[in-house]
Amino acid sequence: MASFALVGSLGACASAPDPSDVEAVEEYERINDPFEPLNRTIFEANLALDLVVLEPAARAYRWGVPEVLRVSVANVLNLLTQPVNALNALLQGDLKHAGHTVGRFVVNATFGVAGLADVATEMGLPNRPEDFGQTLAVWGVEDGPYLMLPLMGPSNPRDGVGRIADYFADPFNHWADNTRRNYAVWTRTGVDTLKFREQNLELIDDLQNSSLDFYATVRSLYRQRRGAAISNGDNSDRVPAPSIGMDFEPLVSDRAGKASLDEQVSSTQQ
Amino acid sequence: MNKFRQRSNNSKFLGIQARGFAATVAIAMVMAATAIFFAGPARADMAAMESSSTQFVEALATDALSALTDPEIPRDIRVKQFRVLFNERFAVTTIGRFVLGRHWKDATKEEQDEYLALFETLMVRTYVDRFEQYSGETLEMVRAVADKDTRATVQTKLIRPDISKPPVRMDWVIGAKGDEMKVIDVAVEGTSMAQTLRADFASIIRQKGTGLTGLIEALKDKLKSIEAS
Repeated sequence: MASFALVGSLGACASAPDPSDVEAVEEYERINDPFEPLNRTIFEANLALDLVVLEPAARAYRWGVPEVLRVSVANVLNLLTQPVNALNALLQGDLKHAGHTVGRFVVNATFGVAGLADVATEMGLPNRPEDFGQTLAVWGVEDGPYLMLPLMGPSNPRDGVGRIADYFADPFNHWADNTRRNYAVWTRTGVDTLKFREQNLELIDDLQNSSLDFYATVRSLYRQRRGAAISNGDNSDRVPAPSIGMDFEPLVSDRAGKASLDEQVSSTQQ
Repeated sequence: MNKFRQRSNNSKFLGIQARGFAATVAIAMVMAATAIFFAGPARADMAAMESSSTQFVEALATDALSALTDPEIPRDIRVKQFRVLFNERFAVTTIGRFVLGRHWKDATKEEQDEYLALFETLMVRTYVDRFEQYSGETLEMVRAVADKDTRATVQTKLIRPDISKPPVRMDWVIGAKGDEMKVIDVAVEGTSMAQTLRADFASIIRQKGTGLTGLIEALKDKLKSIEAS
């Protein structure tokens, strides 16, 4: 019965809009989520699992582990990401960031005592993650349709391929594989997930409470975050374009100025 | 004879060059004057927009903290105080309209007004709830970049007292009209509030298929569930 329902939802696609409605078609293409019904089902399953397992575990982690220790755990996990980070910076042709990342790794592995302390950030070498999904984007690969992966969350074909490539490129995974320490890979993934959930307890609560459609909110946030990561918007000198379109003049008079609001509406309707 | 001719040719050649040089100087002077008349004041206006928008964000942070984080003041008074501040400092109608996108023009005037009132209430409630968790964060100004003399993006860093959490980058898009300034968008780590709300609301409208009416119902339900919690 359950498998029947699953097969049913696998076959379902988001219903395409009426082709004569140009704006609706444009919106459908921009959202680019043809598997929306299936994605929503997986999202609900992920949320249910989060509610029962991950969120309580993250709360327990916050409650039971002292902050200094949690900071060190996050720092060690971060140190482990730096080889793949540097490799991707190289593949993107960003020699400066590759050097920066190697420097960060060396400083934190030595002065930071095997990554327990993040000395590099204080020295002006802050973390900026680069993954193979970003590298593919820099090479001109489009992201493709939105995908909600079981357990792993929001993705798309480009970033999914990126994850797999990063997994095989990571020296940590080779070390674990060669020395038959597969548990090390699972432990790292588990602790990393726990750390992420603990750091975002308030944020996720806030988003769940303030959004009308949490699924659509997460989809939009995922795309925007990836866009910012690809353009290195967090650290580069380039200023992001203001998100509200160019034709959109600020209307300052607001509630008092209904007249000017009407003017604005009629001018955009032309 | 030959020599003279050659010299004359030379001087003619030099003459042309001299005239060309004079013309170049004249063009350069006109261009410089134009630059001073147009680009000069425009750049000065951009710089003025950058510094005044930074002051605006700094004042907003101070005022929001005093309106929202005083535990002596009861919650309903804090909500009222913040509502005044929010309408004064945020371009509520502009944001609300942008968030609605193409669905704005299809709605009636009454629907638009009802939607804007609900949108404003939801924003005020959301921000008040966010500040409930305030625990000593400070907003550090990084820099401001104007893209025209009436709009600038003020980059800030939210510094958290908890050392395990890295600072959060917040970009404030500030619009100016005359002497007034208002926030038109806030981007947290590259994610725009206006864009995210637009995606959220558009999805509700698409699913309900009843235009703005469906969204108004969803907003009412959301506010009811917030009140209940």
